[in-house]
Amino acid sequence: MSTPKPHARFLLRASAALIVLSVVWWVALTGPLLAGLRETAGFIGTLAFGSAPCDLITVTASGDWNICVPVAGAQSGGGSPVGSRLNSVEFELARTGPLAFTFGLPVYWAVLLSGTARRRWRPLAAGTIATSLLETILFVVFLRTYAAAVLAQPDPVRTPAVKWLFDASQYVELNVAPTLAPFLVAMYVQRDRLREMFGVAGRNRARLEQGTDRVPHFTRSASVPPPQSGLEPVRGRPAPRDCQTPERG
Amino acid sequence: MQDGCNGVNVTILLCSAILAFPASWRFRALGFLSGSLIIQALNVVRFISLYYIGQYSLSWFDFAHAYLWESMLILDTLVIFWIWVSRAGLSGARANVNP
Repeated sequence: MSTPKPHARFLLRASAALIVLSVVWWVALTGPLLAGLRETAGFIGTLAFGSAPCDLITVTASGDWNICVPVAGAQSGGGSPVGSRLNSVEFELARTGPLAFTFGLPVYWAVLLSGTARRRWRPLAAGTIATSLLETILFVVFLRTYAAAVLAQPDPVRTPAVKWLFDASQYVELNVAPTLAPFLVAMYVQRDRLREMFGVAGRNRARLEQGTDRVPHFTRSASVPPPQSGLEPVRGRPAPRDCQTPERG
Repeated sequence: MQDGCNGVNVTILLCSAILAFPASWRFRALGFLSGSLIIQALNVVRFISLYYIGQYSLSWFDFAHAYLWESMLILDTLVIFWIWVSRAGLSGARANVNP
């Protein structure tokens, strides 16, 4: 029986790890991770936005989050009385909103553990911290964008383009960035592996173009032997001595 | 079913990655076409699985719909791109060696 290709191995391992770890996340980790996100986002939000007349995040009885973003001195939209200024914008966020910003961790763990690297503990710890921090920053950015959208809402001169821009940015911040972030962190933390994965194609190309030891020189004018797999190095038969110096003829 | 459920976001992700990678336009077009077809096929599998999970439990449906399948599709797209890159490298090499 032939061994599965690296692509298939990685896909099978990562899929299995993703299913197991995301179930663990759903069953056991959402509570602690949400509490952690609330604390760190509260801290980073206070640093970024300054002090507010209310807490940045409070949890309601139903488990949803009440958000209070300080917007000191911001002018309200056209629907408000002329000259009125706001100190903060408050809105309620369903629990599923912040939950999306905690899902990066099981995804990161699954991608990392499905690799073939031997020493995993350091990248696991560093990536966990980086993913958590990145997701928290993304969450704080999302809160600020949402507050800006709320502020602009009653403005009568708001064009469809501005509305589209706010909708698109919220879609990216809530649905795309939190899901994509762990993959990017995993790629960065394991950039050597990544270079290995995506660099094989370049190495094959370089070998074929330069006609190095693994590729016989006579293949330059003949056909290139088909490789066993896209990720395997190109293996040609050892070049005969006569062919190693083309100038001999 | 909404716009985001048709796999267009991961298709855009794959197309962006393919566009950014140095390869011939012919091979890029092949990547777009085959990659999009694979993603759509996976999306059909996703619909079917979500239907059965929804019959079992709405809470697990939410989990599978909003979190698990989203990440699985990105993972699959990453592997599709990986396969395409390895094929693109070999194809480019053959083209350069045998002009």
